[in-house]
Amino acid sequence: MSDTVSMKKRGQFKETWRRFTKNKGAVIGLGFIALLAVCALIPSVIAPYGFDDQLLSRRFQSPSGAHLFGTDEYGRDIFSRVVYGCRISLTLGLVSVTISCALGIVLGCVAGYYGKVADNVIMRVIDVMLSIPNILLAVSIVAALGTSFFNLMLAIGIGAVPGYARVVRAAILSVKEQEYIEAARSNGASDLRIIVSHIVPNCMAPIIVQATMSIASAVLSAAGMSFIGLGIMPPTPEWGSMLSSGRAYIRDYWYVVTFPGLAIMLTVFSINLLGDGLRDALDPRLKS
Amino acid sequence: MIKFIFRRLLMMIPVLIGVSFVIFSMLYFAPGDAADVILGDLATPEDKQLFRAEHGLDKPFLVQYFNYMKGVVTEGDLGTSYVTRQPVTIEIMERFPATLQLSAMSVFLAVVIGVTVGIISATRQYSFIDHLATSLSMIGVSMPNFWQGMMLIIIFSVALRWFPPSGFSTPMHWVLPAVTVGTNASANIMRMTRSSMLEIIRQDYIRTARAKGQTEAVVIWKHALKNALIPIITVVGLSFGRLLGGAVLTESIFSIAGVGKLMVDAIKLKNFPMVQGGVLFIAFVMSIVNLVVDVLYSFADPRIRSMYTRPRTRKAATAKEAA
Repeated sequence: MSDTVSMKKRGQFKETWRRFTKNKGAVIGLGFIALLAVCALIPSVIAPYGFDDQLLSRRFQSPSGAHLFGTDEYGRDIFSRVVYGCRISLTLGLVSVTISCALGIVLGCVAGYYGKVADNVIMRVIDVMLSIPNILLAVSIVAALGTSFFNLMLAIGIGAVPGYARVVRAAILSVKEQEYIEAARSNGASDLRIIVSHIVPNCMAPIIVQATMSIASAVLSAAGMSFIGLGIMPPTPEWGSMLSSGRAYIRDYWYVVTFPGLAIMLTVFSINLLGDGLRDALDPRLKS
Repeated sequence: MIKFIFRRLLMMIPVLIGVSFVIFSMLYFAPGDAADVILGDLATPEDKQLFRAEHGLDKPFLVQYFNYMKGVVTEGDLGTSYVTRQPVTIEIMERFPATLQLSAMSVFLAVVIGVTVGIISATRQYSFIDHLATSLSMIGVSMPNFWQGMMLIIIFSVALRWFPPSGFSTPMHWVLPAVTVGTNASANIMRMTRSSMLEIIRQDYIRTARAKGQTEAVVIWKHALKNALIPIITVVGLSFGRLLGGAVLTESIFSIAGVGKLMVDAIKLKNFPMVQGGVLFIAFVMSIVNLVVDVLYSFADPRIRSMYTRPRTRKAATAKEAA
């Protein structure tokens, strides 16, 4: 029994992978994310300088062979800081998405599976959260808890919960009435077992797509939060806070803000490409 | 229709109470107290105690919340700013016109660009123009708004000197902020228009319209666009709501004295009444925008309209037809 199950899973994975690799954009996105992951894992090998090597005598040098992206107001190499910044942005994206995914799946499952009062209460709370703009919700949470790396991840994670809860709830409503759920129930499976081993695996496709897309928006929000001074504080090389401190110099030195912003854009862009590719690969019906 | 609008207005009340409760309790349990922030380190504990008593900050949580809500409901009083000692309502109202103007201009720009490009892309699916437009919109979605603003400043005000880099007083000042926010929002609208149109132009009634000899322009812009409008309106409504609250970053880049900038400054100073009032106000505006979107649905789609304009049951309707 277990053999056939695992074989079937491998088959499905292979099939998804085959469809995924057909999409050129998605493969490019995945490649770029792999590159970012390498930068995040071993920044000290890739970056020619440390992220906080200050040297006032080399302030504001234009991009050149020695300093690919130039140097900032303290003479720090911008390229090295961008490389070190990968670790922070990727960690932030992954952790905040894990937080929102976990909370959203639980809320969505309870709302979708039990319905009635539970559904009503949870969805009204979600409505309340949706009527506060994401960035303002995150800003208020950070204001209440204080600025720190973890609070930032928590704030961004909580802001993304409504999206998951809705996606999961919709997915559960669409599989809840299927025969195999009925069969599991008539075999005496408990609610928890039905949800965890029968419903959630069948709702995985939209959850994975939602998760990928929300990593992208988490990276964007984090950069925005750091930009207004409510995220990661200098001298930590976060892309948004680099833009924030470089902002004072844009009249004279264009490269101080150009490259960290490009890094954010390319990261978000490739995650979005990956997300689009995954959506098409996981659910061929969606592709017209 | 009036009945429907009225019912929707009633439905806003519990949501707004929820928002106020969430934001009130979050800031209530925040570390650091207004007395410490405003009176500074030099104040004696007695001074702080006096300040707390004066502002009702020493009362129990629910009492404070109830008092606050009583003020909001009975006289639209959102509290007093700790910093300027002005009523929060007045401060927000002073700043709101700039935010509203920026949002309105950006949404207008976004709709014009997004819908036009989306339709062109959809009618020429897989052509060069389509590929170019889809890639550009993907880049637009991925670009941080505030960075785009800075790039525009570097190119158009520092290098070319066409537009001023900050402020919001003359039409020349409006261009860069509106373009920043507008192009960013247009990317989403374009993507939605394209996918919605692609679905519609495969329908039978479009073939019928072509078959009866209607010109292509009328087929696309009248028959197809009318039917593709619902998802487009949804995205436009969403981006308008988001702009009103979330123009925070753009406002700070271009030094525009709007609600977003007001809120960020308030948070840095722990000016809690201002933050609370601002969030509540923005949630209120977003609910209104959602309501307007729902009303627009019924203009775009007669099927939805009939649901509200004819509140009689189907039985009554059929009975009338039979008679």
